[in-house]
Amino acid sequence: MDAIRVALLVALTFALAGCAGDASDGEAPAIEFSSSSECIRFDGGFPSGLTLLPGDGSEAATGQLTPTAVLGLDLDHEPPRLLARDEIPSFPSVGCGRCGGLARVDSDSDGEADACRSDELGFRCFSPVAGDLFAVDARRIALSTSGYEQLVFVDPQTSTLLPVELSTPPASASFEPSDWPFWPTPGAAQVRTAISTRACVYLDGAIDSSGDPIGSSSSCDGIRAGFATGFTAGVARADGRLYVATSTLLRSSRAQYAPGTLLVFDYDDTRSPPLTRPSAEQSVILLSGFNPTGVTAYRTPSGRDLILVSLTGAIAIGTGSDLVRSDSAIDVIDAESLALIATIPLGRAGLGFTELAIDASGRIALVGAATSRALFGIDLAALDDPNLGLGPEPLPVVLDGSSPPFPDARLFTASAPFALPHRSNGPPSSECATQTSVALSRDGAFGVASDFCDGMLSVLAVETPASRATALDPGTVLRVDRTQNVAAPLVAESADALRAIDRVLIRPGEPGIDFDGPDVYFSAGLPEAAVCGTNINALD
Amino acid sequence: MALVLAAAMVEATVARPSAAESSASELDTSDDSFEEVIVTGVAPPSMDVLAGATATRIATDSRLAEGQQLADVLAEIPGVQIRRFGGVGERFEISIRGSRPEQVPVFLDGVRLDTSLTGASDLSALCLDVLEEVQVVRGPGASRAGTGAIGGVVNLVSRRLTDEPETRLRVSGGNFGTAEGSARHARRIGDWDASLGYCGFHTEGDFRFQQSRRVIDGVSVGSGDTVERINNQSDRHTALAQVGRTLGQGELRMTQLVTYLERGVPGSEFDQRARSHETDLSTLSSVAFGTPLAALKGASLDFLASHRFEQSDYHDPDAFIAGDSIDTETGVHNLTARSGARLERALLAGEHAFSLLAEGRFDERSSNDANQKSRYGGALRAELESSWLSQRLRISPSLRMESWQGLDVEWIPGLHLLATPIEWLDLRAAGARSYRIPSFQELYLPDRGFERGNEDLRPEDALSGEVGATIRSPFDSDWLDFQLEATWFWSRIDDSIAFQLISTNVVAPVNTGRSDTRGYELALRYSPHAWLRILASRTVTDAEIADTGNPVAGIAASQTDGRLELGPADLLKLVGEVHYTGRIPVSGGGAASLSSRITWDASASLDLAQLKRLPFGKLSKSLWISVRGRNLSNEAVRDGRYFPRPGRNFAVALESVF
Repeated sequence: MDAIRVALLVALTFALAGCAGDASDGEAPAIEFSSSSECIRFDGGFPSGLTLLPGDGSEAATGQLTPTAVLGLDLDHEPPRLLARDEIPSFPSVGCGRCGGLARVDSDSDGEADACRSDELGFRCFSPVAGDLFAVDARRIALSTSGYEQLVFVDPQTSTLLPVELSTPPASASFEPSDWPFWPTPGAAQVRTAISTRACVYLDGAIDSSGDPIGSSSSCDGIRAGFATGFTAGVARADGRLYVATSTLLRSSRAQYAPGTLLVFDYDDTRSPPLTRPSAEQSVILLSGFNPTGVTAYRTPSGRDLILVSLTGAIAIGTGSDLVRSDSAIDVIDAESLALIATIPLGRAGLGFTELAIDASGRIALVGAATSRALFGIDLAALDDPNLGLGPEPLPVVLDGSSPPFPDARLFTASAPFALPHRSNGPPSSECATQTSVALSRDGAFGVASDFCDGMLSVLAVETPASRATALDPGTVLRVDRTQNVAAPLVAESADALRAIDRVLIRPGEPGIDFDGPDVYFSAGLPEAAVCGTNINALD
Repeated sequence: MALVLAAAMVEATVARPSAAESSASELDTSDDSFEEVIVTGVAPPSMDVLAGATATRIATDSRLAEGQQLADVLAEIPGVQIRRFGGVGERFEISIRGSRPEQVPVFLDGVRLDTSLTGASDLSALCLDVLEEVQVVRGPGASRAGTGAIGGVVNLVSRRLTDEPETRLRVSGGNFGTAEGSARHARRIGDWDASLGYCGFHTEGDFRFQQSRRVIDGVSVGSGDTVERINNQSDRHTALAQVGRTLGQGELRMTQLVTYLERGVPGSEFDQRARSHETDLSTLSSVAFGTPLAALKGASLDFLASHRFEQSDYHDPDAFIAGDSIDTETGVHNLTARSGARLERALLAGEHAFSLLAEGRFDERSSNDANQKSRYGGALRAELESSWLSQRLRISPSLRMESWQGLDVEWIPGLHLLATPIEWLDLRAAGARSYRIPSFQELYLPDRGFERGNEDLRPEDALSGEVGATIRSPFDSDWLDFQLEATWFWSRIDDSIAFQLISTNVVAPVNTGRSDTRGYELALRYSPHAWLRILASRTVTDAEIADTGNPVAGIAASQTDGRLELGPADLLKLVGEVHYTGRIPVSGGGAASLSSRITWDASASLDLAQLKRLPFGKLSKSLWISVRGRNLSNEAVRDGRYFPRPGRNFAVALESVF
C-alpha cells in the first residue's frame, strides 16, 4: 500500500513538473508613469523628437523610444496629456525563426517580422529603433527608424499605424528597382504602414569620413563600390514629395560615415491611402558632406521650393573639444530639378540634428549644435536669386562669398558661432559636450534655445532688417534676452532630477489670449522621458 | 495528491518520535537561540557578530528538502530584498535595508567572496547543497566587516566536517528543462576530517512571459502580448573541498571552492540578445588556523590566508547598429591575509572579551581591453565585548581602521548595546559608520566612448543606526510559543556611486548626493503545535534622495512574507508561502514604478526513510522527496522594468543522506 502511495506521489509530482505557466493569469505587468505639474512622463529615456502638428498649435507629437510608440499630445492641458484616450496597442509582432525564434515587431505590416525581413535581405536581424518624427499632416506622423530603416506612419490622435500604398517604379535610366530591396517589385503595389529607406548607392572612388575608400557592400551587389543607406534621420515634405536624410553611420567607434544622401519619394495624399514610391526621376541625391540630419522645406519669396539639408559632419562619441571630425554645411536642393544647387560651408560646427528654425520674416535660418554651446545660422536671402544653380557655374555653388555674384550665406559658423550663455552651476564644457536646439516663434517675437548639459533655455531676441537686400549683421541680428532654468544641470548631484533637455517648440499664438498655459515646450531625457511646458512670455 | 499526503501524515504519527523531539525553527535571529548542533569534527566559523547586532541564521537542511534555492532562503529574511532578473539560472541581486548589491559583502566561512571588479557577488554561482547555514547581519552590525558593508553582510557557512562518514546525494528536475544534482561525502581519514562536495545545474531556461504595459497619463500603452524569453540557458558547476584537523590545541582548516558558470545573457525584454553569453570561472583557496593560547588563559589566536581568482568572459557577437561586437575577458586576483587575537577577562564586576584583528589585501585586475590595475589595502580592528549583570547588559564598542592605496584612511567606529531586563525581552541598539571603496569597474572601466570609469571617485560614506526588541514567549505553553522581533532602522549614505549620463552620450560613475533610508522590520515566529509553524515578516523601507525627496529606484516600499508549515518537520512538511511586494520605483525621479504584487509558493516534502513499511530506512538516514511550486497563481512578475520572470513552475527533488 505504501509503495502505491509513494508511486502515486512521485507520479503526481512529476506530472506537476510539466505544468509551467506563462505568467498570463493576471494582468500584464504595468509600469506606471506619473506626470508632474509641468511634464508628461513616459518610458525609454530620450524622446524621439518633438514636433507641433499642423493646425492651431494646440497639438504636438513625440516618440517613445522603448517600447516604440508615437504619442500625440494635447497642449491645452497642463501638463500635456495624450491625445489618445483609449488603449494604445503595441506595434504588431510576428514570430521570426531566423532571429532567435522570437516574436518581433512588424512595423511595416508586411506580415513578416522586420528583423526577419532585414536578415533575409542581408542586413542582419535588426528591428526598428525610433529616431525622429515629422508631421506629414495633422493626422499623419512619419517616424524615422534606424536598424530597420524606414519611415513608419502613425496617427497621432490614436497612436495607431496608418496605411500607405507602396509602388515601385519600373527600371529606367534613372531608377533601378533592385537598389531598393525592401520595396515591392515594380507593378506589385502593396499597402503597408511604412516605407523602407534602405537603398543601395553605388559610387566609384568615393571615400568615407575617415578617408577610407568606399568598398563594395555585401548587402548590395557585393561587386561595385557602394553602400546601403542607413541611420534614417530628418524628413521634409515639399511639392508632392518626401525628402529623407540618411546619415549612414558605418562604425560608431571610429565615427565613420558613408557620404551623406537624401532620398526622394513621391507622395500623393490625394489618394487613400496615400501613394508613395521612390522618385523615378531621381531617388537618391548625393550630398556634399557627411552625416545629414535635419531636413527643412523652404520656399523663397519668389516661390521656389528648396530643400535645405543640415550636414552635421562626422562626430565622435565622447567628451572634449575634438568630437567633430569633418566639416558641416547646409546643402540646398532645388525641389523641381532635384539637383544639389548650392552648399553653405559652416566649418567644423557639428550642426544639431533638427530641422532649421526659420524666423517669421523668412530671413534667417538657425540650427543648434551637436557638441557645443552655440547656434549656427545662414542668411536665407542668399537663396533668393532665382538663377541660383541654373547657370553655367559648376554645382553646387559654394555660398561663402567665393562664388560671385552669389552672396555669402553664412551667418554663424564654426569660427564665428552664436555663443549661448553657460549656466554658472552647470558642468564644465570639457566634461559635458552639450547639444542645443532652437525654435523661433511664428510671429517673430522671440526664439528659444535649449542647452542639454545646463538644463537651461536661452530666450532669444531676433531683429532682422526690413529689406532683404540689407546685409545682416551677425552682431545685432540675434541676441540673448535672458535665460531660464527649466531643468537641472547634468551634474552628479542632480541624479534624480529632470535634466538632459533637448527639443524645444514654441506654441503659436498669444499666451493668455489664444491659449492658457505654457507657451514653450521642451523634451527631456532623464530621469524619464518627458515633455514639459514652461512659461517664457506667458504668465505663471 | 492531498489524499496521498494525508495518508503519509497518518503514517508519520506512528513512525516518528514525539513532536517535542523534532527540531524547532530554522530561522532564528539571535545567536544563542539557534538550533543546537552537536559538533563532532572541525567546526565551521560561528556567527561572527557583536551582541546587539540584528542577525539571522537559517539552517539549510530542511530548506533543501523543500526544494528551495539560495535566493529563496535569503528572500525570507526581514530587511532582505532579492531582485531576480530572469529565469531559474539567472543572476540575482541582494539588497539589505535598501542597499545596492555592492553594499552587501558576501563571505564563505568568513572569507570574502565579493569581487573587487564590481564590488558585488554573484550568488547565483553557488548552490545551497554545499552550505549548512546562511547567516545575514543587517545594518550597523555589519560595518565591522570593512569596505562595502553598508547594508549588511551575508556569511555562507559550509557544511561542517564530521567524524562519521556521511554521504549526501540530491537530484532535482523542473520546468524549463532544469536539472540539478549534488553529491557530498565527508569522512575522517587518519587525523584529518575531509569532505568533498559537488553540485551541478543545467537549465534550458527559456520561458514565456507577458510583455509589460506602460500606463501613461492613465492610458495603457502596449498590448501585453505573451512572448518567449530566450537565451536563458545556464550551466553551473560548483565544487567545494575541505580538510581540517586538530593541530596541538588548535584547529586547521583548508578550503577550496571552484565555481564555473556559463550562461546566456538575454538582455532586456525589448532587445533580447539571442547569442550574448558569459562564462565565469572563480576559485577561492583558504587556510585558517585557530588556537587557544596556552600561556595566557582566555586568550586565542587565529590566522587566515586566502586567494580568490575570477575569470569573466562576456561575448556578444550580434553587434548593435554600427557598433562592434563585444568580446571582453577580465581576470581578478585577490590575496588576503588576516590574523586575530582574543583575550577574555573578568574585570570590574563584568566579563570582557577584547579582540584585535589585522588584515592585508591585494587586488589585481587584468583585461583584454584595459590596462592592468592593482591596489593594496590593510585594516586593523579593535573590539571590546563587555557584559555585566549576568549578561543582562552587554556593550560592544568597536573601531576599524582601513586604508587603501590612493585613498584616505577610513575610521569605522561602531557601538552595540544589548539589554535583557527580563528573561523574555531583549532590547537592542546599535550605531556605526561604514563605507565602500570604488570597485575596479567604477574606477577603471575602459573608455569606449559611450562609457568609461572615473578615477576621481570618492568612497561611499554611510552612517546607520537601529533600535530593536525581541520578545520571546514568557508563557510555558506550547500554544503560546512565539518570538517577535521588531527593529527600526535608519541610514544616511553620502557620495553614493552611480553610473550617470555625464555628457550627451557618455555614461560614467560619479559620486551622487545623499540618500536617506528609514524603515522597520517585523518578524514573528509562532509555533502553537509541533505540527504547525508560522513565520511572518514585514519590512517597510522608505529610501529617498535627500535633496529631492524622490524615492531611490529599485527598492520595494514594503515586503511582507508569510510561511505556514504543517506536519512533523522531520517526516512530512506541507509549506505554503505568500509574498507581497509593494510598489517598486523604477525611476530615479520617482516617476515610474512597478505595481505591487502577491505571489504564492508551496511545497510538499516527505521523508520516505521514515516510512517503516518501505525499505528506504534501512538504506539511508533520510530520503526526502519534494515538490515545490512557485508563483502558483501564474502572475506576471518582475523586479526590474525590462526583466520578466517566469510564471508558475514546479520542481521535484529527491535527497538522500546515508
